[in-house]
Amino acid sequence: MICSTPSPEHGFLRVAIPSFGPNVAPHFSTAQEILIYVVHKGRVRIRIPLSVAQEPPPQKLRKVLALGIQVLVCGGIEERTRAVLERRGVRVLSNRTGPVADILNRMAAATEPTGPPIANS
Amino acid sequence: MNDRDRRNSPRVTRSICGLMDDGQTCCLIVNSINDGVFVVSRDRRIEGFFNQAAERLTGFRVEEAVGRACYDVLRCSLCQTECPVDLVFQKGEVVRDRPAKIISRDHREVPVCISLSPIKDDRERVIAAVEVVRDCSVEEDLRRVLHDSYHFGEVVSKNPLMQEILELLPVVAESHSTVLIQGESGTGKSMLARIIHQLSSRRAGPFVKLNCGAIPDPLLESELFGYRKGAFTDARKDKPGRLQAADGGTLFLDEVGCMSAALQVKLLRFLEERAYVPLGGTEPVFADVRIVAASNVDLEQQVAAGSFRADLFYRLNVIGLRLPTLAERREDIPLLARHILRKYNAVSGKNIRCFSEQALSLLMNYDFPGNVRELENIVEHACVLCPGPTIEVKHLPMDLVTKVRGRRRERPEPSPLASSEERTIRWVLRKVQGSRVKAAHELGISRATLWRKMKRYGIS
Repeated sequence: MICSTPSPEHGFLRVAIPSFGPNVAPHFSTAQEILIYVVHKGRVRIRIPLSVAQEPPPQKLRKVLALGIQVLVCGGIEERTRAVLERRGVRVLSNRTGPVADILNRMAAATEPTGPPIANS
Repeated sequence: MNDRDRRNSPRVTRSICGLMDDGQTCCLIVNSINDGVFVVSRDRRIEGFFNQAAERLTGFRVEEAVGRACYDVLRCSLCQTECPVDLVFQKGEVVRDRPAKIISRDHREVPVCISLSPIKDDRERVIAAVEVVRDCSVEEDLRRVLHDSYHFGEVVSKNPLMQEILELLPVVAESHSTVLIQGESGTGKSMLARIIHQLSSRRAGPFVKLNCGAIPDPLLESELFGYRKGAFTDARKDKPGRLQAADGGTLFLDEVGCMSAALQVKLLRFLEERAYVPLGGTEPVFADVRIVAASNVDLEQQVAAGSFRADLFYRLNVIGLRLPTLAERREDIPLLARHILRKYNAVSGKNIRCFSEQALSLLMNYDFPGNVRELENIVEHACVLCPGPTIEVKHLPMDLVTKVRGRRRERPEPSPLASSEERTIRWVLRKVQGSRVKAAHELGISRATLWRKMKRYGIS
């Protein structure tokens, strides 16, 4: 389980990216799959695809919160959902597009001690 | 030749084509359309043009949108499940008025209708599609006003307590427990009850509302539980009560604190046994009803005072929600005012865009004893009087303006710190017989500072 071991104190970054094929999903609430990554020292250590096709938006939100996600990278996201996540300490990088792999590589680079900071939305 | 033929006559078509050959004219035509229009290529990229209405709807500029995937720009609720563009390319069919919701760049959810038409080459192969996106916000607002229905997404609040409630609402709705909503009159208890029903698995069932404070007690019993033929002189046939009407759905009992002690017992029995006996009946009737109750008085206090049964209170208060007053969520006033304005525009057909800064500042400084309902009335009053696009102070109700301005004129209470500073200066001045030089020395401040402070506190 990814919830049990990696933690922010140890430099692990838990990232969720709703996906649409190889790209970032355009709409968080209707995403069919959410990819969960644990990134540490510039490398992706764990990758778990979560199928959320049958789940209503509040359930998706609860899943993201329950998994202790620190950063959510997404395309469009409703203001309320964004507010809930941010209130619970999840950093939301919205309006992102393009291949998940590219975004993840940039995020992984940012977790390196000398890496560039993660750009805000 | 009928109208349609005349419109499509070769001469007219030729002249339109002539105009369309001119790029500038084509842009002018497309940009003058109030719906978002753009072309999607086979690889789902936006090609060619992206008109001004599409820019307004999505929040993306033409130079940002063209060349990008349509789903990255539109962020439509259909994109990942039943994409209408796929239909056009796979079947060559025209898609008309497909309702959906898009998310604009600034995270607003916009209800839209999407239409698509295929563009075919000489061999009838679909090479692209023209997508027309119509903003349906006004229609949606109007529909909600007419049906008195509320959408969870439309309750917007920046207030932490309200956000906490809204966050929990889906969980509350999913459960089958009884809910007690408490809050002052006009805080939105009834709206919250409706949202709970709409989010629940009972949404297909009825939502029945009964205001316990509006009906005299003997009638309330027959209204709630119904009666059997012959129960009283005029009972010529069986009449179902609201409980039966709400079977499979939700019964909203507003102002539940107004119920008599006898009726409280009957309601408690229903909550415990899920069955009731109609007036004049002998057999119990079972009803699958979720009770959502509301009270504008503090029921806990009523329990303490002995006017409300403690056991019923605990039965109702399985899930307790307490709504803050509008004065406690002052930060929501601009949001709510704009939301009400939009609703009023939809109903009246007016196009009032905003509030002036002064008008908004007055609203922010008012206490709203009638809460959101009072704000609704104030905005409606202003909308009726406002002929232009902006609501000014002169359009607000006179008594509100007078109250707020009157309070501003009243001298504010000095802060304890300022008041103690004033006392100290007066005491030192008395001690040194009014010598400012000595007083400044005694206080450890310059003469100029002492003079400024004396002026501020009105010390001569």
